[in-house]
Amino acid sequence: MMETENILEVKNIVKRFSGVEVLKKVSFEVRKGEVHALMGENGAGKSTLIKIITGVYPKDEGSIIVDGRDADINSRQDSISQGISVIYQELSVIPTLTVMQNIFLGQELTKKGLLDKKRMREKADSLIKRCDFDIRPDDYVETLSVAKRQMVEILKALLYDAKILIMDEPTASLTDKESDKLFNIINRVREQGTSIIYISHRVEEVYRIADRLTVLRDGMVVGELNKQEITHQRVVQMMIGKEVKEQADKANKPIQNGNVLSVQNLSREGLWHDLSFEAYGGQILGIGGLVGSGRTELLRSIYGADRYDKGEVLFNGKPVSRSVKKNIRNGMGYIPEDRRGEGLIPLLSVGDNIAMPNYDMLSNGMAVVNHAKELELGEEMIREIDIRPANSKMPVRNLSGGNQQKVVVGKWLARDLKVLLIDEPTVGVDIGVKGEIHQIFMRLAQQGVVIILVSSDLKELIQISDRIIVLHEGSIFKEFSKEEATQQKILLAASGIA
Amino acid sequence: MKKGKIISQLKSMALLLILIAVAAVFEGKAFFSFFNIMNILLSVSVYGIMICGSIFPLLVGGMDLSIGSTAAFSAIIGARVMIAYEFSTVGILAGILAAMVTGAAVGLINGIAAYYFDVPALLATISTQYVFYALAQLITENKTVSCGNSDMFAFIGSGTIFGIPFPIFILAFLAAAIYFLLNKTVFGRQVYAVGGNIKASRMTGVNAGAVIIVSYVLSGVMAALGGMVLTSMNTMVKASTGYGYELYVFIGLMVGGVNFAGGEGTIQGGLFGALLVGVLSNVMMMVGIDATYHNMIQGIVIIIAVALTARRALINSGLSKKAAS
Amino acid sequence: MNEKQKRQLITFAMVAALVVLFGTTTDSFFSVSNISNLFRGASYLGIVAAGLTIVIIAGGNNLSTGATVGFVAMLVSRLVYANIPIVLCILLGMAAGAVCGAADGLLITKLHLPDFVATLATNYVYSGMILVITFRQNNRMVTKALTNQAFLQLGTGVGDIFYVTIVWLVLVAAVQFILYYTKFGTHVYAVGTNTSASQISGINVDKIKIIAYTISGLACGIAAIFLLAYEGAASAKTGEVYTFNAICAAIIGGASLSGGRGDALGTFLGCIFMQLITNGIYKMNLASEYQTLLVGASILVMSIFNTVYIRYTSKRNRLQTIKAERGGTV
Repeated sequence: MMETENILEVKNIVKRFSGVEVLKKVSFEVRKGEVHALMGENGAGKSTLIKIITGVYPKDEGSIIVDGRDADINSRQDSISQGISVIYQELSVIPTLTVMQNIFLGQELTKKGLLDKKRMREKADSLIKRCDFDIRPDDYVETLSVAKRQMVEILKALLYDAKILIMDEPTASLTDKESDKLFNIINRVREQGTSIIYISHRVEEVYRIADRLTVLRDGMVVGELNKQEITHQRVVQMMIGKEVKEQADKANKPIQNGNVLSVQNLSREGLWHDLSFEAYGGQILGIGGLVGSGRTELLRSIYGADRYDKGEVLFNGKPVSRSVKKNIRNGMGYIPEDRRGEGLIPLLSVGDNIAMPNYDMLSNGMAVVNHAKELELGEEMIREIDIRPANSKMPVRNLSGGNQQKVVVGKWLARDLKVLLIDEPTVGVDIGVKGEIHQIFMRLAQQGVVIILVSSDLKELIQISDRIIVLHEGSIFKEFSKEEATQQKILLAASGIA
Repeated sequence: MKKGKIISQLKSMALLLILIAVAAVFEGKAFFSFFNIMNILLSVSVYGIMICGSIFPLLVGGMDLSIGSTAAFSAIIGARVMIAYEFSTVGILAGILAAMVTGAAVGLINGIAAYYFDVPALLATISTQYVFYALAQLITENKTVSCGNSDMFAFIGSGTIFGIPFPIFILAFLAAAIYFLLNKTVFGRQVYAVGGNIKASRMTGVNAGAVIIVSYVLSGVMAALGGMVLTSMNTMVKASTGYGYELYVFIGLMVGGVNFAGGEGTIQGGLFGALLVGVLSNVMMMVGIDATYHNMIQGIVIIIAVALTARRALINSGLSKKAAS
Repeated sequence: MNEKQKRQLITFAMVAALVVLFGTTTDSFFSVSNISNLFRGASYLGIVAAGLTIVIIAGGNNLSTGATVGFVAMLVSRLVYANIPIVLCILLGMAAGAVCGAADGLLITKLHLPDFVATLATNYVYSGMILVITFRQNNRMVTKALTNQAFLQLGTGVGDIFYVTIVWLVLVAAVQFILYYTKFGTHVYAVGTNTSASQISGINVDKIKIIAYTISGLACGIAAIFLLAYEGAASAKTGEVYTFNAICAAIIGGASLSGGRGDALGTFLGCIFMQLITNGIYKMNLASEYQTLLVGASILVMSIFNTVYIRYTSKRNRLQTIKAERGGTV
C-alpha cells in the first residue's frame, strides 16, 4: 500500500444507461485536505458520477481507490464505511429531534445499554466548536433555518469521520450571507483534514473556495484547473465547449400580433424583488438563470398555481386571474418541470391525459363528456405530434420519456392558446423528440401565442428563443436578443458576473 | 383495458367460481334455488347501494368507514319525517330526501376533516362513525323506530316485481347512475385524476378539494339510501341498523379491484366484489360455519385481497416516503 | 420551554380544567375512594394506550388493540379455569399479546399492507379467535366466572391503590424512559418522521416497527390480565372499547398520526382526561352514549387541533428564523 497524497482516485469510470454512455472513461482525483469542485452543466454527468462514488449506482467499468486502496463500493453503507459522506439538497435530517440526536442518529453512544447523553453532548459541543457553528446540541432541528440544518448534516458527516465530504449544490437555497457562512465552514472542515467535493454550476462560488476544479461535459472530463488558473471565462468556456450557433428552423420572422403578457414589479419574500418584463405574442421569451433563481416559481405564479406578495401580472392590460381554472379557460397553458409529478396522471391513458384540461370543449355544458369528441381529440393529437405507440388507450406510464412529454404538450394544442408557459420541456427526452417538441413551440409562436420558456439547457434556450432574460438573485440581470446570445454570456449573467 | 385490471378481475371471477363449486358440492340444488339466489341478491343489494357511494372516497385516495352509522342515523331522521307525515306518498318522499340530506351532511364533515384539516381519512371517518352512532342512540333513546304501518314504504324493501325483490331494482338504477357519473361525466374523470395524481390534476384546473369533499358526500348519501332500504326491509330502524356494514363494503370494493391508494377501480368491479362477499357469506352459512366466524374469515379475506393488490399499489404511487418538513 | 413541553402543557390544562369542573360540581370528588377508582378505571386503557403510543410515534396505527385485549382475556380465563399455575397463565397471556402485536408488525412490514388495513383485518381475526376459544356448553357460548382466588387477587390492590394502577404508572415510566433514554426510542421518533432519512442513517425501519407493534400487543396482554382479574370473567366484547379510546387518548396527549410526535406522559394525561369525562358523564347521570359521542368528537376535534397547531407553530418558527437570520448574528 503506497502512501499517497490522494484521498480519492476515480479511474476510467464508464456508466451506461440503456446502452447510452453517460460517463465516458471519467478519471479524476481528490487530494487530502482539499476542496475540489466538480462542475458541469445539467446532464454533464456530475450526479451520476457522485451516485457511483456513493454506491447508489453500480459502475460498468473503472475503479475507485480510497486512500490508496481499491474500494469495492456497491451500496451506501459501503461508501459510508469507506469514509465518504454526501449532503444532498433535500436534507435528510429529522426535524422533530434535536441537533445532537440528529448528529448521532444510527450511531448513538451508549453506556450500559442506555443513551450516554453526557458524552454525546460533549462530543457534539466539541464538533460544533471546531466548526464554529452557531447552534446548540439541544436545539430542535425544526426550529432551524435551512442553512443551520445543513450545518447539522455537516456535523453528522464529520462524526462518521468522513474522509471525503461531498456537497451537492449546497448553496441552492441559501442567501448570500448564508453562503458566506457556508464557505467559512467549508474552510474550517478542510483545515480538519477532510476533503470536500463541491458540486455546483455556480461559477462565482467555485472561484472563491475551490483549490482545484474539474469540469465535466457530456460525460467526459474536459479539463482540470488549479486555484490560480480559475477564471470565470475559462470555467464557462470549458463547461460549454465550442459553440455552434444552430440555425433556427424558422422560415418567417415572428409575427407580433399585439398580445402582451406583462409582469410588473413582482415580488415575493426570499424569491423575487421588483421583477418586471414583457412577453409578446409571436415571440418566444426565454428565461435563463441558475437552479434556485426562482424561474419555476415565476411561471407557476403567472399560471395561478403559486403566490406572489406584490406586483401584478397583466395580459393585454387586464389582470391575470390567480385561479388556474380561470386561466386555462382564458387561454393559458402550462408545461410543468416535473413531468411525472405534475404533468401526467400515470394510471390514466394517453387519451385521458390529453383530455384533462379540455373538458370545457369536450362536454356538452351539462358536464356530460362527449366521448366521441374525447377520443377524437386523443387520436388527433397522437397523429399531429406523432405520439408512439399510437394507442390512445395505453396507460401513460408505459410510454418513453419523450413520448410522455409529447402527451404533456399535446394537452394544450387543441385549445385557443394565448399564452403557453413552459418549464424544462426536454429533460430526459431523446434528440429526435426534442427537435419535434421545439418545432411545436415555434409553430405555436408563429400562430401568435405568447410563449415563455424556462430552461437550464442553454443550447435549447438560445436555439428557440427570440429574446432571453436572465434571472439572478431575484431580478433580471441582463437581457439578450437572439443574435447576441451565447451560452457563455447567459451562464455568466446567470452567475451574476457579467 | 389495463392488464392489471383484467388480472384482478380474473382472480375475483376465479374465486367466485371456486365458491360456487364448493356450494354446489355441499348443497347442490339448495344453493342454486331461485329462493337462495334471490336471498343472496337481496343481502347484496344494500351493500351494493352503499358501494355505489363509498367507491368515491376510495377512488380519490381516502376511505369512508362511517357508512354504517351514517345509514342508521340518516334513516332514523328519515323515519321520523315519514312518521310525521303519516307515511303519505309525500311523506315517504320527504323522508327519503331528509335521510339523503343527513347523509350528505355527514359526508361533508368527513370530507372537510380529511381534506382541509389533514385528518387521516381512516380516523376521521371512524370518529364520525362513533359520533353518529352515539347520536342515533341518543335521539332514539335506544328504542326502535317502527315503520310498519305503511304498505307503500314496505314495498321498497320487501316488495317484488316479477318475483324479483325491489331493492335489486333500486340497486340497478343507482348502479347505472353511478356508472354514468363515473364514466361519462367530467366529474367522474376528475375523480380518477385526483386519485391518480392530485398535483397533476390541480395543474389542469381541477378543484381537488371540491372533488374530494363531493366524494365523501356521495358516500354519505348512498349510505343513507341503504339505511332507508334496510329500514323498509326490517319495517323498523334502530341505532344499530347497518352496524358493521362498512366491513363488507370495504371488502367488496377491495376484492373488486378498487385500489386503496386511489385512482383505480370500477363500479362494476366493486359490485362484483359485493356479489362475491354475498356468495361467500351464503356459502359459509350453507356449509354450516357459524355466523360468529364470518367476520374472522372476512378479515382474512381482506388481508389476502389487499396483500395481492398492495404490491401494485406501491409501484403505482411510488414507495411511500415521508419528506422532512 | 420547547414545543413538546408546550403541547403537554395544553393537555395538562385540559385535565386541570376538568378536575376543577368536577371537583366543584360533584361531592366527594377528592375522596380517596373516588380518586383511586378513577385511576383504576383508567388503568386498563392507560396500559393499552402506553403501548400504542410507541406505535403511533413510529408513524403507524393499531386498530386491533381492543380485540387483542379480548383475546388474551379469554385465553387466560380458559387457562386459569383449567387450573394451570397462575404464573404460567400470566406469562402465556403476555406472550399471546406480544404475538398478536408481532403478527400486526409483520403484516405491515413484510407484506407491505398499510397499517390501518392490516390492523383492521387482524381486529376481525382476533375477535373471531375469541369466539373460537370461548367456553361452550351444549354448543352454545357461555360465560364462566373464575373462582381462583389467587388469580382474582390481581384485581385488588394494596391499601387504596389497585395493583393495576401501580402497573400502569410503572409502564408509563418505562415507556417514557424507553423513548427518551434508549437508542430504540430515538429511532422510533426518527422512523415516524422520515423513513428514508432514517434508513440512510442505518436504522432498520422494519425492525423498529415490528418491535413497536410487539410492545403494543404485550401491553394489551397485560391490560387483559388485570381486566379479567377485576371483572372475574371474559366475554366476546371484553376490551372492544379500548381500541378507539386508546387512539383518542394518545391524540389528546399530543401524538400525531403522521408520526414523530408525542410521548408516554402526554398519553397518560390523555387517559386521565378520558376517564374524567367518562366518570363525569356517569356522575351527571347522562346516558353512556354521550361518552361515545364525546370520544368520537374529541378525536376529530383534537386531530384538527393538532394539525392547526403544528401549522401555526411551524409558520411561527419560519418567521422567527427569518427574523433572526436577518437582524441577528452574521
